[in-house]
Amino acid sequence: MNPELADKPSAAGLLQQYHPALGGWDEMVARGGAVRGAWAGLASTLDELGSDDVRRRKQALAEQLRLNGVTYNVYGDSLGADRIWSLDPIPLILESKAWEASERGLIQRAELLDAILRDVYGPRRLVREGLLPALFLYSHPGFQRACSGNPATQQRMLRFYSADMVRGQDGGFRVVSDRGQNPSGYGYALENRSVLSRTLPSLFRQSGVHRLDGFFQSFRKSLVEAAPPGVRDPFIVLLSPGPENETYFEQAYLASYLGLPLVRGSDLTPRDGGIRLLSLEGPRQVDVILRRVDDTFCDPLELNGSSLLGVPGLLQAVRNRKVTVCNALGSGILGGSGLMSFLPAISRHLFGQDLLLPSVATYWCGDKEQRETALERFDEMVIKPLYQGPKRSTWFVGNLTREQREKLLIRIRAKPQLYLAQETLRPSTAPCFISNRLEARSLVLRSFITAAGGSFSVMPGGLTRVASKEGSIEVTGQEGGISKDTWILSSEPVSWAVAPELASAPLRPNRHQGPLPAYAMENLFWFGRYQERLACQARVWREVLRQAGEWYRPRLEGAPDWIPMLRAYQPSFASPAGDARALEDQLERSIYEEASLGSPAYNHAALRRTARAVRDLLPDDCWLAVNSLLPAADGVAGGPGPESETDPDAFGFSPQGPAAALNRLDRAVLHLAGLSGLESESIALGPVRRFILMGRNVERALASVRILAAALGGNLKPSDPLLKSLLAFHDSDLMYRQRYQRDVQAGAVADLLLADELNPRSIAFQLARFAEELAQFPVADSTSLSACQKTALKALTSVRVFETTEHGGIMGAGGNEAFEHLLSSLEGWLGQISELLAREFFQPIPLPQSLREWT
Amino acid sequence: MPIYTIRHRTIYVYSEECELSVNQARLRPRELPGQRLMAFSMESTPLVEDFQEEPDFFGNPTAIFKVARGHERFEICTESRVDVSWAERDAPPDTIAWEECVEMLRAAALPETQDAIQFVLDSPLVKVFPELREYAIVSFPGGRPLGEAVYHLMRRIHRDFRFIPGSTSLQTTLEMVFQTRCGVCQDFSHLMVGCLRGLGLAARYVSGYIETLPKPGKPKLVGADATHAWVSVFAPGTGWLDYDPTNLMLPGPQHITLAWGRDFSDVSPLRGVLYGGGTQKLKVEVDVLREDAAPVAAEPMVPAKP
Repeated sequence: MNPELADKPSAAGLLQQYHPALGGWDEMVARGGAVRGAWAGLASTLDELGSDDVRRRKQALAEQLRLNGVTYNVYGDSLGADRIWSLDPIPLILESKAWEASERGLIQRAELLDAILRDVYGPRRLVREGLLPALFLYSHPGFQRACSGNPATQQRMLRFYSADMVRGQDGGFRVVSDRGQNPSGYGYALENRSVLSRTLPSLFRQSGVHRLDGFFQSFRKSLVEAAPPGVRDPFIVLLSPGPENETYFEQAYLASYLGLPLVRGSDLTPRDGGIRLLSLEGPRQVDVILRRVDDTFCDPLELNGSSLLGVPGLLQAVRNRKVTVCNALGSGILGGSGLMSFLPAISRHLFGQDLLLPSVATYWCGDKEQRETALERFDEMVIKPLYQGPKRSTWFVGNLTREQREKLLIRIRAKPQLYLAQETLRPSTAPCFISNRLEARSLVLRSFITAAGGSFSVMPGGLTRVASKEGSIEVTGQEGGISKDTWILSSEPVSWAVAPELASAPLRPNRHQGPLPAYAMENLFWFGRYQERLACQARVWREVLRQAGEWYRPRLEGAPDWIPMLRAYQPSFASPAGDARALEDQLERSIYEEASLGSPAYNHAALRRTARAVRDLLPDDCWLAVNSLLPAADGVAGGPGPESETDPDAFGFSPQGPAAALNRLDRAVLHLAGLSGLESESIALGPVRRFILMGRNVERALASVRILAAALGGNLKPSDPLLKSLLAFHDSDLMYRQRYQRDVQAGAVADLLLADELNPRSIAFQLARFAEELAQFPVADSTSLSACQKTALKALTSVRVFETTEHGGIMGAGGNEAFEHLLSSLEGWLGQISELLAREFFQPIPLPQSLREWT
Repeated sequence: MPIYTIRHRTIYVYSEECELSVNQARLRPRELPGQRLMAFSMESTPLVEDFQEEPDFFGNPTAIFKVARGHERFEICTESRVDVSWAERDAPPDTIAWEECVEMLRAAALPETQDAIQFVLDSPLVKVFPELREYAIVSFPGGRPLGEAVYHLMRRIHRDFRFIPGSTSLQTTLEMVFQTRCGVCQDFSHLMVGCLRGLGLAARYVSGYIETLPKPGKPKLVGADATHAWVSVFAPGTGWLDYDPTNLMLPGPQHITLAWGRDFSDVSPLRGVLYGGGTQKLKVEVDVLREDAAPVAAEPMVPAKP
C-alpha cells in the first residue's frame, strides 16, 4: 500500500472517529496520532471501504463462522446452547521485529517451565536449593503427588505451551498467565485466519502475513516425537472430555485437521501395561495421547476417584513408558500465574540468564515479604487463587465494595499460600469494529508454542481477545468475548507454496479408515436418526400447515384429524380449540420452541448435538449443511455476536405467520436432503457411512409405523381425506398416481407405504436396506446371525408376508386388527433393534465404578 | 522382639460380572528401623495381571494390578512376617517446645522441615476448621514440650470421643465427627491430625495393624481384627513420634506400620476402578498372630481397639 500513508494522520471516515484513551499504548495509533507503519495498509483499506462496507463484511464473516459451526460452549448455559464464536473484522497487526523479541522470550520461557516441571516431579532440587518454597509446592492444588517419580522426567514434559500476554504502556509485552497442561485456542486461531483472509482478501495478500501452517507441522512432528521409546510410527489420539466441554469445537476441528481419532475416556482401556483404544476394528495400542482433559480427571484410580472422563491405570501406563500423555500429567502446576514470582531467580539459577519476556509483577502471598508488598498496595492489585479451578475467580480489588474487600482480606490472611496478587496493568488497545464505528478495546494476545526437534517453535500469530467493554481493562476470554486474527508481518516475502511436508518414510497404500470408537458409532447412528426424524417431521408439519386453512376455515364436516399424527412426534401437541388459526399457531410455535419435547426445534437441537459429537468424522460440506439449517444471521447489524440483541442459537427468528413457517419447513426438507446426498457422495464406503444409514433406516421405518398407527387409531373411512395426507407425509403422492391413476383407497395406500419395496419411503424398503447394511459388519461366528440381524429379518419378513390386499389392507373385515397388530409388532422390533445395536456396538464395556473401600 | 504373622484377607462379591478391575494396594508393611519385613506374599482369585510394585510419593510400597477376566468374586490375601523391635514406651520422649517446632516448620530451612510442611497443610480428608484449633490449644500452653503436649491432647481425645464401631463411613466429615463425638480409629486419627495441623504442627496419618489381645481366659479371636490407624507428629531434631489416640497409647511392639500419608486417602489399603460388577459386598479379615509362643507378660494397659 502507499507507504506515505504511514505517517499521515488518519484522514476521514472511520479512522477520524477513532480515539484511543490518552496515556495508553494503542496498537494502531502512536502517541502523536500517526498511524503506525505496520497498520498503514489496514488504515487505508478501512478508509477506502467506509463503515457500510466494513459492516457488510463483518456480517459475511459472522455468517461464515456460523456456517462453519465455530462455537464456544459456555458452562451453565442450557443444553446444547453453543455460542457462535465472535471475530472482529480488524486483525491485530504486529511487526516482524517486535515479534521476534517476544518469540525468543517465549522459547526461553517454555524451556524454563519444562525444566521446572521435570524438577518438581523428579529430584525437587529447586525446593532443596530454596528457589521454590516447599510451602508453595505442597500447597499447590496442581501438584500431583501421584505423578512424581515418572521416568518421563528425563525427557521433555512440556510439549505444548501457551502464554497470555499484554503490552503495557511502555510498549513491552508481559506474560499475564501461563498455560501448561492442555492449552487451547490454536484451533480458533486457525479458523480466525481462514475466515478473516476471506473477509479482507486483498489486504491480506498484499500485507505479507506469516502463514500458520508451518506451526501445525511442528505440532504434528512434536506429537510423533513424543512416542514412547522404540515406537517409530506412533498411533496418536486426541482425548476429549466430550461435546459439553467449552472448547469442544476446537477439539473436533483439530482432530479432523490433524487426522487424529477423537476419543473419550470410555473408549480407552488399560491392557498389558499400556492403553488400548476400543473400536469397531478391535482394540489397538495407543502410543501418544494428546489430551484436552485436566490432570485430575485423567486417571480415576490415582488422581480423582470420581472422574469418568479419564482412564483408570493411565498413570501406570505412562510410568511403564507404554504411552505418552501430552502435556505430561501433572503439568497443571505450570498454569496460571503461580510460578511467576519465582521465574527470574530460577532462570538465572538454571540457565544463567535473565528472563527475556517478563511477567506482570506477581506476588505469592505465602511468602511474608511478597505478601506485605501486595497488601501495601492492595487496592491496585488483582487477586487470583494459586490454582484456577473451573470457576476462574479473579478479583480486581479496586472494583470491590468495602465489605467484599474485607472478606477477601480475611480469606487471604487465613490461607495466604493459596493466593496470588498481580499488579493491574493497563493493556494496549486496538481498534474493533463495533456498532458501525471503531472502538479502542484492551486486548490480550495468546501465543502458542510447541516443542519440536530439540527446541521450541512459536506460532507466528495467535489468538487475540478483546475486552467486553470500551475502557475496561478486564479481558476474560473464557466467557466467549470477541476475538481477533493476529497478523505478524514478514520482513521478507511470504511464500505461497505449501510448506514442504516433513520427511517421512514412503507411505504404503491404506484403504482403511481410522479406528471408530464406540462413542462415535453411537453418535453417527443417532446423527442419522435425527436427520431422518426431522425430515419426516418437516414433511408432516408442512402438509398439515398447508391443509389446515382449507379444512378448518370454517371447519368442514369430516375434516381430517391430524392431531394423533402430530402427537406421534410431539406428545404435548394440544387439540386445536377452534378454527384453523389455532392449529396453525400451534404448528408454527413448535417450529421455534426448543424446550418442547419432540417439537421440530427440539429435534433440530438434538441433531446439532449429535452432529457436533461426530464433527471430526464429517466432511466439511456436511457440517456446512447441518449449520445451514440454522436461520441465517438476520438483519441485526453485525450479525450474531455479543453485541447483537438476538440469541443466534435459537432455532429461528420470531414467528412471522404461516408463510414464513412453510418457507422454513421447505428449507429444512431441502437442506436435509442435501445433507443426505452429501453423505452418500462424500463419505467413504465403510462403517461411518453405514452407521448413519442404519440410523436413517431405523428412524424412517419407525416414523412410518407410528404415523400409520396414529392414522388407524382415528377409524379411517374408505376414502378418508387422511389417506391423501399419509401419501404427502411420505412424499408418495406422485408414486400413487402413477400406480393407480384413480381414487385413493386405503388398501392401495397401505401397500405402497408398508410393503412396496420399490418405494424408498416404504417400511419394507427401509428394513431391507437396514438388514443389508448390518450384514456388512464382520461377525465372530459366520454361521449364525447376530440378535440384531435376526430381529431385523423377522421384522422384514413379517412385512413381506403380510397380505395387504387379502384383508382389504387396512380396511377389510378384520384387516384393521391384523394391520394394527403388525404395526405394533414392528414398533417393538424397531425399538429392540436400536437397543441391540447399542449392546453389540456402542457399549463395549460398562461404565467404571469405584471399588468400595473399608475404613 | 515379637515376630508377627499377619494374614489380611479381603473379599469382594459382586451382584453382576465385573469385566475388568484396575487396583492399587498398599498392603506390604514398610521397612523401618524398628520393623523388619521377613516375608511377604500376596495371592488372589482370580489371578491378577500386570502386577507392579513401587514406592509411592511417601515411600509406601504400592502395588498396581488388574483383574482382566470376568469374575463375580475377588479375593485377595496377603501374609506378612514382621519382626518388630520397637521398645514399649509409656512416656513421650523429650522434645523442644511446641511453638519452636511451629517456627522451625515455618522457616523450612532443612530438608526434613521442607518435607514435613506438606503435613501441616489441609489434605483431602482433613480440612481444619476454627473449632478444632480451639479444642486443641487447651493442651498446648506456651512452652510445653511438643511430646508432652501431644500426649495431653491424645488423652483428651480418648476421654472426649467414644469409640463406636460402624458409627461412621467414608462419607463422614471431620466436622461431623467433631460434633457427634464418636467414631472409629480412622476418625480419631483424622481428628488428632487436624488438631495438630490447626496449631501449625506437622502430623501424618499412619495405617497399619495392631495386635489385639484376647480377654483374660478367652482364646484369641481369629479374623476379628481389622486394619488400624494412628497418628505421627514431627518434632524437628527428634523425628516423627507416633501416638495412638484410639487406644491411648504410644505405639510400640504391638503396632505394625503399613503406610503413611496426609490422611486415609493417601494410604487406602486397597482401591480400584471396576467395569461392571453391579453392587458390591465387602468383607475384610485380619489376623495378627504373635509367633513366639511366650505368653503375654502382663495385662495390657487397656484392651486395644482397632
